[in-house]
Amino acid sequence: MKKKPIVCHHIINFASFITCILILRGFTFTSPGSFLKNNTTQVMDPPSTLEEEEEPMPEEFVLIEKTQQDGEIEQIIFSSGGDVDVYDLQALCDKVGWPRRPLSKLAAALKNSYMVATLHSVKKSPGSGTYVLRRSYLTEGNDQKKLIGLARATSDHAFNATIWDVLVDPSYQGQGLGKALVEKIVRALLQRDIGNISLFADSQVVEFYRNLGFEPDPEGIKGMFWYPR
Amino acid sequence: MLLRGIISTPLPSLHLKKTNRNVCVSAQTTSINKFSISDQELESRGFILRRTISDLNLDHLNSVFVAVGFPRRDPEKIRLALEHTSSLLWIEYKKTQKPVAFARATGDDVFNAIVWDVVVDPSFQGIGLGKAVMERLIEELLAKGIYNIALYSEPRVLGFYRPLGFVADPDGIRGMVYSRKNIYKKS
Repeated sequence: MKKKPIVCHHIINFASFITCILILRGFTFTSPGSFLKNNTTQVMDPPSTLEEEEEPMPEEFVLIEKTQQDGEIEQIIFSSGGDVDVYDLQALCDKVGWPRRPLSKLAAALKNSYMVATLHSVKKSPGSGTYVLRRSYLTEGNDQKKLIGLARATSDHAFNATIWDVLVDPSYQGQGLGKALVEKIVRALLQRDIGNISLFADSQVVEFYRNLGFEPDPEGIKGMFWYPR
Repeated sequence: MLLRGIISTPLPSLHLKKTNRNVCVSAQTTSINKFSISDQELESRGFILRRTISDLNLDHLNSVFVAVGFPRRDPEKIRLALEHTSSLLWIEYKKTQKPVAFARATGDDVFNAIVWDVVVDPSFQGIGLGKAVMERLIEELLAKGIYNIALYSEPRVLGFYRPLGFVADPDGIRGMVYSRKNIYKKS
């Protein structure tokens, strides 16, 4: 039972021939769940298994790669390295309709976050050079790199982490990127031994997070805010 | 599945409720109560307010945690957590030199803060020490410009946080916690 979208988003309109390759861990294909297909079939993200969660996740890897008929390649790169241009972030916040926050504060918030996970879209024009599968991605002069998603977590580095500011560019919504962002940041936090991962969800997205393993009001514990607006 | 994009509502503007937070103008006038119990009153009752982890014995703190029902945690991990905690407050009982109340808040130091580990030694509960640490912790966060202050409250202490100004599930926002077992619960 699909929910009706409340927010309009544009589905990327590719040329007729689409090849979609989902690469989970960059370049090794050991898990039975991951696979590489070279035809028009769209490959869906296999559910993450406990096995995958225990293997170290690289800091940066290609999440999705799409090739158009004209040879243009678009890669969606996941990174937990936290390298974010604060102007890009502000532009993304504008796109999803969030109220403006001072740039200096945005920068400080990023710097003070324990983990910042990002999704970037890299579009490589056809014939821009040979592209080696072994590296996570190559950006050259005429490639376009765009911040299309972000999630960040604050933490005490030992017990608790809280995820804030999960956002995906409206043009890229509906493809499972938000799901991937949260899954990966959770996995990265678990790998750093943070036992308690929490967040506060608007009522419309409680189901979204429930499907990712989050439980509202566990044991009746309630989220509270000080004099909310 | 739709991703709305927003999970935490950032505050668009300053929303500071005007509570009884007046400035003490001069020593001559009666001191206007900023807090439920003033610093002087705490001092006169034998309690010292502390804001750093220096002089905080982590084994003693751990004992307070255990006394209120927390699992006993590795003191070194507690130290690591406290070293990465931007705001914390504890009350030392002068006579024993032991911590009897504690609260801390983590966050990004600009927008959001979450309060954790609010504890009062059972022998010292009911005299306002929990309120004392909370009021001051909130004041410290507000002074830093952090207005989005959140916490997770067990059902039996919702009544402790409400008079301090906390609201549960405002606008339907729900606190959620990750659990690996939830993945396998899905139908």
